[in-house]
Amino acid sequence: MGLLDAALLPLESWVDMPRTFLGDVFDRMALRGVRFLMAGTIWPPQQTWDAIRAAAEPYTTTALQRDPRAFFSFLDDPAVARVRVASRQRISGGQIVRRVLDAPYEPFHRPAGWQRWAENEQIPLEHWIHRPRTATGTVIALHGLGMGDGRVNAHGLMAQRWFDAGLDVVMPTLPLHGARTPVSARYSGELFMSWDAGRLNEAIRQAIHDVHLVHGWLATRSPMPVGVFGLSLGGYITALLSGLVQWPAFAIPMLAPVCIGSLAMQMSGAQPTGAPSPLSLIELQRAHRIHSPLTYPLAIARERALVIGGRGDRVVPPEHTHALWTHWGKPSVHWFSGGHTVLFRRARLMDHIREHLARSGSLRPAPARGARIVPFPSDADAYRMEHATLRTRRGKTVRLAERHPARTTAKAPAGR
Amino acid sequence: MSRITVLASEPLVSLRTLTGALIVVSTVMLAELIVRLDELFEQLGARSR
Repeated sequence: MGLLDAALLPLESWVDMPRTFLGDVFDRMALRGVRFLMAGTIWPPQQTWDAIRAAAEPYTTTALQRDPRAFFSFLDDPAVARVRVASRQRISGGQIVRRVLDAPYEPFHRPAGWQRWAENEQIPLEHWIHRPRTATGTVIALHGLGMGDGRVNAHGLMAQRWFDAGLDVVMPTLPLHGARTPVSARYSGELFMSWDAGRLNEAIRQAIHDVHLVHGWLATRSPMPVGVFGLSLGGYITALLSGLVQWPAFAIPMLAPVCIGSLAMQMSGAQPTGAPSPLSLIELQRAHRIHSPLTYPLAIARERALVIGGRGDRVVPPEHTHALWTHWGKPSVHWFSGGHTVLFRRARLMDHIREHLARSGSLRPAPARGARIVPFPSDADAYRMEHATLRTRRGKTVRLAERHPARTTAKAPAGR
Repeated sequence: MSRITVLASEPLVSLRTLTGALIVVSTVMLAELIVRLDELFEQLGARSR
């Protein structure tokens, strides 16, 4: 893969340029802090570099290079989750239910750096549900690295705006984040991002495993379409998932990296200075290839994908968004004026997402290849879906279903 | 052993790590303040129109 190609961005108005400038400035400040943080926590001591090289070997076998999807073979099995309710909270138009899913995870290969942390075996999630009205779909919103707290997730992932757009929102905590952070870690997500490819690869595999489990559980509750939205690391998981399975009704990776190796080099300061690192960029890319979104073609219809990038993003530079957009055959793309840490004009961003969902018909169930069409269980459900509308902020009302809706039961993909 | 006890008994957090964390957190909070101000000015501009 090597270095990513430079991104060619559409022109922006002079009114928006200061926002991009501020995004750039704040991201550079944050990166400075991240470099300090990484030097003190994630950067491995030199005596462990040989072990780190050895840890990457099980993930670079010829078999996996030939069939990388075999790394996620659990996706072909039905996902069954045990769920319990932790708490409920009433909000205007519905309620927030905090649930915990039991998620025992079996690693692909048990690397030395991977332990069975008890905290990490459960998925706490926030579920925003419309009551008494019915939602038009559900979005699984995935947070970024270092997030994981319920309030921070809800704010960063724009949960209220998604909810106001008529969708139920599910926000699972990613592995080794938030309440799943092991006691030995100093901050949320510290043990997720690692130079040890064994640990990082298993953490990403577990994240896909968990989202698959959450979707499996949602599918048993309701035939509503389920889409995925992710921010930063969550965007990486969203982009990867969209290349592995066909169930997402829509996929919106935002500020998503596509090459964790180049980010690691950039954040550690190794890339610009040429300082020695445990693994070279090429070695990192080889070790991460099995979960890079650029390894898999888009598995859902292209019109259901929307890629969002920040013009002034310096944490995940626009090259990543551009590479994903090109790899996916140039679906809809939105460039906002701002950076990774400065998300300007969230309302406009959400307007853009709403319009994309309405225009693409993403919330209308579409039969997948080889799908069996099953009618909705009751006429009342069919009536609700048929009359569901989406109101954009510009006052435009869009019908989501133009004909009698249908539920699709997709067969498990036969693999690649 | 509680998390606090672990942090107090071992030098887990170096000055460099703490500085990095402070820079990241303060940058994100300041950025959020700027975003809120931007939204406020936009709303005031929209009202005056």
